Amino acid sequence: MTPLPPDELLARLHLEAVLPTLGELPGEWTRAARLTRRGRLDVELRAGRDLATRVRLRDGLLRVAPGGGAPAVRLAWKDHRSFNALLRDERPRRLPRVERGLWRVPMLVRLGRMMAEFSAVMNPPDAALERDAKRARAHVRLALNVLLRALPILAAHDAPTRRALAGGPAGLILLAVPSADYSAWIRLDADAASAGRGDPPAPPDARIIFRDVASAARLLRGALDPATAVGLGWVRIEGALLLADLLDVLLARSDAFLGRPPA
Amino acid sequence: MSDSPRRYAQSAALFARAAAVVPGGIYGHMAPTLMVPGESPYFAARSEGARYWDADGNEFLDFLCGYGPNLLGYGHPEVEEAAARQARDANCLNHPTARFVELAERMTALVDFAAWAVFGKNGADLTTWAIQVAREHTGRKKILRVAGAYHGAHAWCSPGHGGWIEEDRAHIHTFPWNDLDAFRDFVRRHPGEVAGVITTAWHHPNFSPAELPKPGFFAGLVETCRAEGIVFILDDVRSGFRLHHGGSHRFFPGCEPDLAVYCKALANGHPISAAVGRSFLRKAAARVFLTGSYWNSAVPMAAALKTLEVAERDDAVGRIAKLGARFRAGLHAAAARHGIAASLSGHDSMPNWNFADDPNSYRAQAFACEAMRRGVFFHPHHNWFLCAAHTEADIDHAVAVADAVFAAMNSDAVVPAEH
Ligand SMILES: Cc1ncc(COP(=O)(O)O)c(C=O)c1O
Repeated sequence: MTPLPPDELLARLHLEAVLPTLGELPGEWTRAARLTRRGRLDVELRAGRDLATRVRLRDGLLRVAPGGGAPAVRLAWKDHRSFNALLRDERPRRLPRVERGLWRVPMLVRLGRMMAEFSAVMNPPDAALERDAKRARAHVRLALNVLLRALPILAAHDAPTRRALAGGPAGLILLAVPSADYSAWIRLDADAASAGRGDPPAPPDARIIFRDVASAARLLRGALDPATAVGLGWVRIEGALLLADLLDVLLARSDAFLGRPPA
Repeated sequence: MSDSPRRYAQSAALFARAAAVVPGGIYGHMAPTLMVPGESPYFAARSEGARYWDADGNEFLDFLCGYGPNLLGYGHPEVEEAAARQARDANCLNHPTARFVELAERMTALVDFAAWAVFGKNGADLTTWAIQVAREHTGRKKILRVAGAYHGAHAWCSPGHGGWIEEDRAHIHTFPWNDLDAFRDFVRRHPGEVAGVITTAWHHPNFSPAELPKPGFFAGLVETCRAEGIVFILDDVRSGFRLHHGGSHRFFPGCEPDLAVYCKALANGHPISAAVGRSFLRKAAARVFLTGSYWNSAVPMAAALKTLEVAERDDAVGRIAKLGARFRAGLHAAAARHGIAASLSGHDSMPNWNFADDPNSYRAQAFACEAMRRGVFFHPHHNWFLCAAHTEADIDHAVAVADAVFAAMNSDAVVPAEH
């Protein structure tokens, strides 16, 4: 595996970690579920020459994954950076070229509304998270899903992540937010990371358990560093501390790419 | 000392305040993450002898000794009196005081190979300076160190992930503890390039058992160093003056360093570190700039002089060794009684305690939590320390507590505490 230039890596994280999580939005967020009940969507998003994914809605099922014949609509950004600017909500907006299906305006409008809901869950103002328990729960579950997808990509293509993995312990980590009904596992190896939802495939070497949804939300949004969160009791770590410490490095790398800039 | 569950409300409240104004809340080796968060105190309030009281007033019989500085007992009256007397006269001035010379004389008399001594505040001040001296003396770049050993929080050796760049370690290389072949192989492959090798007196990593030097390891290392003109630096920061009044190298046959660094036990908790060296390094030592705002302060030097005097007079080393042997025998017998496979490793004065088949420290964490609830402070991941203020009764009490914890572990009665 090769390290990628930052813009390309970020585009990849957006296409392969963030956007696929959009497919899980209807299951977590009623307003998104309503949007997907009817209608059709088939939009390919293309960043630069080589990276693309495709958002499809059919028979009430939303899926985000690459491939599968010619799309109804193709939106193409000329380079990774301008694509990233869109997902980072940077101004001025860099508009894509509509390479196919320019006339399918309703499809684009539907995608726009879906993305707005996605953003409302993924990047809500802090106050919204504090007072809206449902949104906080969806936020935590989806943000963790993004992380599960991002870690293998970083492990493959981010030089600092690869250096940390090579020098750190290997092992299996359980990640749980019991009050959000969420559990997942992350496996770190010397040159790769893998992750999945549900129970770990073997007894975990370390367990990382979030006290509640609010704590997990604050931590995931970088409101506090993990060491402080542990001291405050927001997170419990048991077992192989060095493994948890290594995950902390990877979380920092993920945050460096996907996190919000510090206030 | 009660057996009731401990409550850490004050610790938690202080930590919450710290979290607002200190990155990480508490950073470094005292960070809650390295203990069992929520199940141990975060803040201390008072100490005496081999005991301390945390911010909530919980009393602990202590087997961590402030991570090593407590050699004679917290607040040792003679050391504190010497420090207080010195403080009345002078501490941090425009010049060093006579204590500076007296302590250098004392160190060079105490450590058999030492022709000179210098002082800093912390261990890493002088482990870092020591490798500079090795480079200055040899005109070479490369430093060998043992993988997994701790030498401080500086860029060349910090175990942390942040704040250093690859170039900081471009000439820092590791070899496995006790692996003389690997050491020699590296030297052979880099002729005339290795300035120094730095090791501790034995390998005492966190999370795993300690390993004493294999017979012939130090002798072989020294032989190669002498043949190749490599400076052998002994990092005796943690263990110095706990095993032997003349430094830990005296305890291990064949361990003949050119330069040694001391810190923790030197002044029984007052801030000072020292490096001593052979005469051939004197010129290089004089050329490597060495200083700090407080490095010549007189109070810690007075405390160090008194600590060394009392330790020798009262045979602190002999006393700790005897207590350590009692502790080892007691703990091993208790574990065996409960069919628990666990053992002490390393030197009895600062042993590691590890359970068999516990690569992730789950059992070590459960053990430490339960012991803390019963008022005995055992660190789950770091080596422990004994001090001269421990009594046989303290050791027996600690063993009895361990015995009760083993019983609880066997009966699955170990449950997480409420914070
Ligand atoms: C063996 C060893 N070397 C060096 C150091 C660094 O000393 P300090 O933390 O005082 O800088 C330590 C500290 O624990 C140590 O144990």
